[in-house]
Order: sequence, then structure tokens, then C-alpha cells
Amino acid sequence: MRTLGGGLLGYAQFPGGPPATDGVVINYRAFGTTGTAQAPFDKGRTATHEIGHYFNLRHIWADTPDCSGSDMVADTPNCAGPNYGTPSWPHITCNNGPNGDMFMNYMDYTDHAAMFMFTAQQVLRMRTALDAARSGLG
Amino acid sequence: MAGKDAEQAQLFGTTWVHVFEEDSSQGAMYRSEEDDIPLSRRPRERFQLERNGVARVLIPGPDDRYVEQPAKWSEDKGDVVIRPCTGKPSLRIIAQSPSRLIVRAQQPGDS
Repeated sequence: MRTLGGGLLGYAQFPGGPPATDGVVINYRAFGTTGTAQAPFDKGRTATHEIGHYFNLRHIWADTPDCSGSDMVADTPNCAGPNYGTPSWPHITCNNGPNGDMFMNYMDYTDHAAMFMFTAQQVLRMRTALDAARSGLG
Repeated sequence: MAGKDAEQAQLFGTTWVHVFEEDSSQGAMYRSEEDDIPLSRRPRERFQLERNGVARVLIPGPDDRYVEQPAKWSEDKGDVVIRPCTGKPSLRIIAQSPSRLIVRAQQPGDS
């Protein structure tokens, strides 16, 4: 066991990767809502985000530096890149108006206070992972 | 000479992390991973240097784990310059103290 250094909040592994590195890792300073948790990462959303990866969710901007990628979920608007902090609504990119980037989604990079939702298709994708690659959990 | 040796040992024995909050007109600030670096969702690029000219640039991947990008380093006009094999801009270390580096990104062909 060691401290997660360098200011990193956490990371995970998608289904199907090597068993030796499978799992979710979260910085104790960004975990939970009390104790060692530090603002603005003190509402437990680091775990929500990383477990989303563990259940096969991608970042909503699809980790591309433009509008070319897809997070493989139909009901998250295409967007150009990550959002940070607590953005003002709407933040329009990739012709995704009028509502713009879904920066309140758990799979963006905003502060915990600014994120509060998965979409129905993201939930379906996670359920599919639970029924298949992660079926060993149940 | 001992000071130079210690400086080099620190350079090679450390994972250097971009602390963008401390960037200035001089360049980008990198600090040792062991320092108390603020939490950030914005990814922090990192690098490691080996004495044999190998460098590793680490960038966050799609599951937030760091992904290694191969690179090489060499000395140029007294500075250490890291050249990623991916064609991304080189990183020139223009100043060094025991736990901090100031780094300038430069496009191929820049001096």
C-alpha cells in the first residue's frame, strides 16, 4: 500500500483488462465526504467517477482533443473536452446547443458540487457490464 | 562538483509532476511527486528520466491511469531536453532546484 501522489484523485480499470491491475484506486484526500476528504472533492464523487470506469463508462468527451470521439453512449451530448471547476451553463461545443456539454455528468471532470447525474444509457451500459464482464461481483 | 552530482541524482531519481497552478512567464513548474501537490481533476503530466538517455512522459489515459509515452532526453546548450517519440513538443529544463524544475515546451526546430 502507498500514498497516491502527485495530486491524482484516482483511477480505475475498464472491464477486460489484466486481473493483476483490476480495480479502483482513490486518493484518501478525495474519498468520501468527511475526515480526510478535501474540498472541492469531498462529496464522494471520485468513487462514483472511477467506479463508472470500472463498469465500462468513458469520459463524456471521449478523450479526444476535438469533436471526433464518442463515449459510446447515445444520450450524452458530444463535447470537445473536459470541463473543470463549476462551469456556467450552457457551455456549448461541438454544435451541442442549446444545452451544451453535460458537465454535470459524473463522467466529466468538474468539481463534486457540480456533478450529479448519470444518463439512462450510461446506467444501461453499467448494467450490461454487471451482467457480463463484471458478473462475478453478483 | 558534488552539488552538480546531487542535482543530477535528484533529477534522475524523481517523478516530476506539472503543477500548472505555479506556471509563470518563465515556464511550466514541475515538482517532485513526493511534494504536497494540490488535488486536481485537470490531468498533470509527469515525466521520469533515466541516466541512459531514456525518458518516460506519463499522461492520463481514458480510465485516469497514467499511460507511458516513450521519449528520449539529451543535453543541448547545457539544458536537458526531453523529446517524446510521439512528435509532441519537446520539454527543455531551463532551471532546477532540489524539488522544482522550470520547463519550457518547444516545437521541433525551436532552439
